[in-house]
Amino acid sequence: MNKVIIVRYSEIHLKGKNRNFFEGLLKDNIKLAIKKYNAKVERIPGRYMVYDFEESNLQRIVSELAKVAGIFSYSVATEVNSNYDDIKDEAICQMIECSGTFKVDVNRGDKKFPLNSMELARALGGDILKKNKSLKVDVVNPETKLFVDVRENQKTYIFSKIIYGMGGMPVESSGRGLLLLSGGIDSPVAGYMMAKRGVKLYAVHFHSFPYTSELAREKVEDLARKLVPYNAGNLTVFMVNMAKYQEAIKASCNDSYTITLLRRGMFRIAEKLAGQYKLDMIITGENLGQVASQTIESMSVVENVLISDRPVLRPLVAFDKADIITLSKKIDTYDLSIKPYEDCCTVFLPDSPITKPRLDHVEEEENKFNYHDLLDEAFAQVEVVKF
Amino acid sequence: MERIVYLDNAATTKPFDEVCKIFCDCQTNFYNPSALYDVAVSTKKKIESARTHIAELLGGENGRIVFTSGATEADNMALNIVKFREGKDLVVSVGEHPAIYEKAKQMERTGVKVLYIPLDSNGRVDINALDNIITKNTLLVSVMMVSNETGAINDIKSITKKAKQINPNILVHVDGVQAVGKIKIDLMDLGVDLFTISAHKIHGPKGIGALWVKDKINIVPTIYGGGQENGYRSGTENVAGILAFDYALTKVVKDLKENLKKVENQRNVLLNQLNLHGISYKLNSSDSPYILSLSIPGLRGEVLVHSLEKYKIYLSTGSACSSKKPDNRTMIAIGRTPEEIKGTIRISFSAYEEYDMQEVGTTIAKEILLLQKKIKGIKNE
Repeated sequence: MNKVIIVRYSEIHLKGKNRNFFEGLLKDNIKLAIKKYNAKVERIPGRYMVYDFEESNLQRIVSELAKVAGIFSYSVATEVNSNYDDIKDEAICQMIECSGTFKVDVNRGDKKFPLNSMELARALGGDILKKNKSLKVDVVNPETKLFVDVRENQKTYIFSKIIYGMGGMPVESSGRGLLLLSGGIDSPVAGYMMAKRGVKLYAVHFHSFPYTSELAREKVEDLARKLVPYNAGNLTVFMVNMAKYQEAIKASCNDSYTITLLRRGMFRIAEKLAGQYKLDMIITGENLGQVASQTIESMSVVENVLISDRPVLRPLVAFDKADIITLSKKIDTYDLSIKPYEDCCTVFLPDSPITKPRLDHVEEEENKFNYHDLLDEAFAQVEVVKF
Repeated sequence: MERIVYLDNAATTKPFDEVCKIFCDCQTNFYNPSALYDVAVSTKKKIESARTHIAELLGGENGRIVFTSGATEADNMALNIVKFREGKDLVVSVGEHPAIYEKAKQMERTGVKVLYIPLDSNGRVDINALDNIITKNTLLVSVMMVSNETGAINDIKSITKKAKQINPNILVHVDGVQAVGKIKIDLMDLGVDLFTISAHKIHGPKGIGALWVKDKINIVPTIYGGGQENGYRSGTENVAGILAFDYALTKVVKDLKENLKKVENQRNVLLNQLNLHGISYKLNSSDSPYILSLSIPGLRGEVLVHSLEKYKIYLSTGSACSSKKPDNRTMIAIGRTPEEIKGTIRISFSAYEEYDMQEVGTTIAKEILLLQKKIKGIKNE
């Protein structure tokens, strides 16, 4: 009697001619997610089967699958030989501690099995009732459903619990994106949201050592590690030092434009990275109106620096902070994000950042220093860290 | 500068070579001191002799040493001694190390009344304030001997005397972590009841500290088990730690006077370099030469720490730059502004490391000037 995991996908069934591509991608992602457990993953019509793993790793595999985008639900099933006695024993075993109403749901893929679906369901139901007097049959609205899947390989799979997965689309089915990853609460959540919709993430983190500490960087690395399981098992992070660029802004420009100019610099570098690594979009954790740099005017003045037609996607733009926090707790990044190390040190934060920057004024400020050279220098020194 | 210039000795110190040797020896001579055979018994004897010797070095023959995992445990143990009940209170200074301060806060949350002694502008416990704070209901007062942040030295003898005048039954606990081996300590003369020490601040190993407890005071164990340390603190003894602690303490006590001169010289040469380069600062205390705490306007301590990394010069800050609201209670207590707190650095010396302090001071001064300029942002227009 082996344990197997039956995995069902979401939305892929909506795909027409591309279905094969999506199914293959999800299979690869599942394999990557549980690589270290040496399990086998097989595509069977309409679902996948994970099998051939050490039973002691079952719970670990189950929790990894919860982070694979594109999985609708999955169940841990017991595999038995397709003969009535073995099926009956396992069915009774799974139902022995249940009470209330139940139903046996049979799927007979193996048409050579001596009983048809209805007959098998009825026979099993009767045998279960004999052993467990606290159960009652209700075929319309049962509290527990026992699924019995008689397959063509002379094996039958029996399970009663369904675990819901994260849904969404398989990672990389919707292209590749560059996430602006700060140390805050929002950006990891934004990354998670996009990965869930099938985007393969790359991340860029802007720091300003020595104005920011090594601890701030470690925090971002920890956040990146949290995103890895949602991103098909790896994440590439580009670390960019903006210290010199920030020093120049401080020395040359009106203080209230500091953040606007910094963000324009970040977007310029992000776009260059996206070009170099062939990434299809830029993703930010921006949230309309949250801070001065996230007003619609600020967003528009910052986005204005982009010259390619790559879209900037802001999955959290209309979220309330409380909802973002709930999600960050769900993906376990919240406790890391609230550690008090900042990405761009408060040392350069102006007292009153401009909330409604005008493009002509911003450009006037920007032309007061040689931002091109400084950004080129920062870009040339990008550090690539793979998780 | 190729060599590491380590100026963070208030955080921890480099173990003496002999300390490392003792550690290695104890891996060969590894027996459990509680066992019955001869080699184990001889280990037990060594521990007991270290215990007595350490108490003697501190002038504490009228008490006993209870070894702990470090000063934090010893501090916590000291505050646990007193059984607080309705109407009784605990007194600590606002400048205490978190091992006392946070423990007091935790006790406050469980209903214990805690009163806090303010600091004067020199960073010392305000002795005059004791009259209004200590009462007949005070069960224990805890005051550190030397501030780990500013180097301010508290007059423990006067504090103890005053506390006991107001309330003869009061227990006085002193965290002596930054004092041991740096200033003369005579526990019997000071009149205290409980005293915390740590090995790794005096070139000993980490993971070993002790609480000295005056005779006839009962400790409440917080760790139960095999009954080691007379049942006060169970757990197999840290034999290597204890023996190395004894070695380190013996050495620093012996070298005390000579060390003081060396450290004073280091501090003065360094400070002189800052003066020569025109650095303006507020000196947070001039009590202990071992700790030089400066508040420098227009600087961020954390940024200086990182910028000095490239020269392999290591020192410490007064407050994290990233914290939006500086929350350093010691600095607030001595009247520093948020701006000054952000610009606070702590340089702490050791007599056992010698550097060209003139060169080090010049490097630090130049870096401070450079950062001040960058942070202020000298406008081009």
